[in-house]
Amino acid sequence: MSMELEEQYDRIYRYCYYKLRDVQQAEDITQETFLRYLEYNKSKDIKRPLAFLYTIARNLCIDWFRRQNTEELPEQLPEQLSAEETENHMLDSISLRKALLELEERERELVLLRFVNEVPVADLSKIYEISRFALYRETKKILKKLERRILDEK
Amino acid sequence: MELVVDRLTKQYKNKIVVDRVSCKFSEGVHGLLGENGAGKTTFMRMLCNILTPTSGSVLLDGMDAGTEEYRSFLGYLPQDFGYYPNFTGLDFLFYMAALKGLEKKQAKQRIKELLEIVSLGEAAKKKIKTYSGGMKQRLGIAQALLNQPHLLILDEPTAGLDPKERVRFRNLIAELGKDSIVILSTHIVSDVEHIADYILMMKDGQLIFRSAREEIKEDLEKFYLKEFGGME
Amino acid sequence: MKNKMRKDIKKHMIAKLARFYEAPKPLEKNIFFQNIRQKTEQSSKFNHINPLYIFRVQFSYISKWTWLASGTFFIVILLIECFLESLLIGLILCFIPFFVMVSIMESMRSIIYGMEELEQSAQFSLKSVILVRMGIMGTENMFLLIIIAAIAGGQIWKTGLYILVPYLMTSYGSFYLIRRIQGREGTYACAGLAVFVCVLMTSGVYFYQWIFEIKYIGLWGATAVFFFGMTIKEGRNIIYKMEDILWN
Repeated sequence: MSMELEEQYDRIYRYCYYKLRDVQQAEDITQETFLRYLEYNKSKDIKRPLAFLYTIARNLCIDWFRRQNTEELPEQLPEQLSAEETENHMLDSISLRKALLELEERERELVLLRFVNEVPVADLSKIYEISRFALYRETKKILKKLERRILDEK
Repeated sequence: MELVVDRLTKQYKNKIVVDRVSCKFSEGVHGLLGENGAGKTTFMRMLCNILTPTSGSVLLDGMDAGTEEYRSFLGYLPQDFGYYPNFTGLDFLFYMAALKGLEKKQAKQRIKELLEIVSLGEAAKKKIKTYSGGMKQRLGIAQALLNQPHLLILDEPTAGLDPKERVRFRNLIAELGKDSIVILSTHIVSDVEHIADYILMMKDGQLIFRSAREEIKEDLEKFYLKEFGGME
Repeated sequence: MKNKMRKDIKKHMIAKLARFYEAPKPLEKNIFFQNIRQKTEQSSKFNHINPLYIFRVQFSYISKWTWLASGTFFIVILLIECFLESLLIGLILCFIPFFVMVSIMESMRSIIYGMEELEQSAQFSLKSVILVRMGIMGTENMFLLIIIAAIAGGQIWKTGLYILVPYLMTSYGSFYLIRRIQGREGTYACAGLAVFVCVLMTSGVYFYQWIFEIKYIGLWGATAVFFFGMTIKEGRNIIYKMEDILWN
């Protein structure tokens, strides 16, 4: 397993945690994701490993929800407000949180992957099965939404 | 991995020592019981590419026992073995490591780990001729594990060991059985009773019994005596 | 102005998002990857072992007694060549079989010391080990014999033929014996054979000095070729029927 992919463990874990809201489950699914990836990797070449990794994780999360017999719950947003928030008074964490809540689920997921986990655009477009152009457009739209919401709050 | 033995036979002139034995082995500990002369050692030697079968085949995930590839996954501890004079335990292990394809650096690391597993640490630097029976057996097991074998074959591994060492051996074997196929032959039922996942019995060259350990409800000793008509 | 503000907001927003989504640390990461590494180490391996590697290894493990014995016979012969011109050929010939004896004993060490089962089941198996050893010893023998022939004076090819006859006789005889007599007894028989050939050579030289006359060189040549052929034949049988030699 290449060193780079090992580093993705934390990020995949973060992704699963925000989808599942459960520490143990998130770790289990993260490990399952890597195991499946490795198994597949034995016999076939993987062109976009990161995209594949996330796709496995995503599908495993969906399966888990299905088995729980629940609708996919909105993922958890971070609760804590750290002291450094006062740094930039123009950006209040509460308003950011509010702004995020107003996004659609898919948009929140995109925010997590693109800006927090820093998944490269090429991989993202493979995961969502949309063109890079469409991805740029959507990302821009989301950022605008967030900006507007935050500015409105002021 | 799976070891598939198909109608394995060994015949010398008029005597059939192993008679059309067929069996499949998967991960876990397989205990092979039988009196002396039942054909256990000959059978095991065929699994180790030491003897060629008169007929039948031995395949590990499709690899024939006669190939170098098969042997790369194999570890074997014979009933008794010699050593080059004046070899220390370490010399012995390095020599065998070379024959198993390990490079000097790899070998060094692996030998260090193994000496710890079999608790031979300091004694490894002493000459083998000073070793007790138990120490030599432990050296033998270390040698068998050098190439991290998927198939481990042990011929009477606990013969000549004192009870304490026997227990230690059993624990080690049980541990190894988790990831590899371990086949061990013995005529001591209690050895196998505690650690085998599967029990096989041989008599007069034939495999007369095979089953998962948990399916044998009664006391294994009694069961064995029953099958073998009171000969132990 | 508004644009710059927007750019700043955007930059800060993105930075904030990253910190915002901090997840609890995963607990099992290291163990998980350690396990995987162990498992892949275990399952991936199969490489053919390079015979040259084993050649080097076996070379390093050849017993010092072997080199010593070989060396001793070699030096004795050299001394004879230097100081006993008259008895030269005869004496040399009678020591030649012992080179074979030493080589055979070294090649069969695995059997003599009971390592044959372990070596047979190793990836680079016993048969190959024995062959490699025979190769090493054979090369050493040839090397020494060439020097002996060169120093003997006279024509090197003639001396060479004389030397080859007892060498090949003993080789063939040894192969014959180890095929038919099992275990260490076979190697002891080879020692006996070496002595026999030595005595044969000595008495032959003593009683039939005429055999070294140049007109009989053809006889020597033919004998050498004959035993060469037989050695090869018996050698191949050994390779194919190794199992019979080793096990009862």
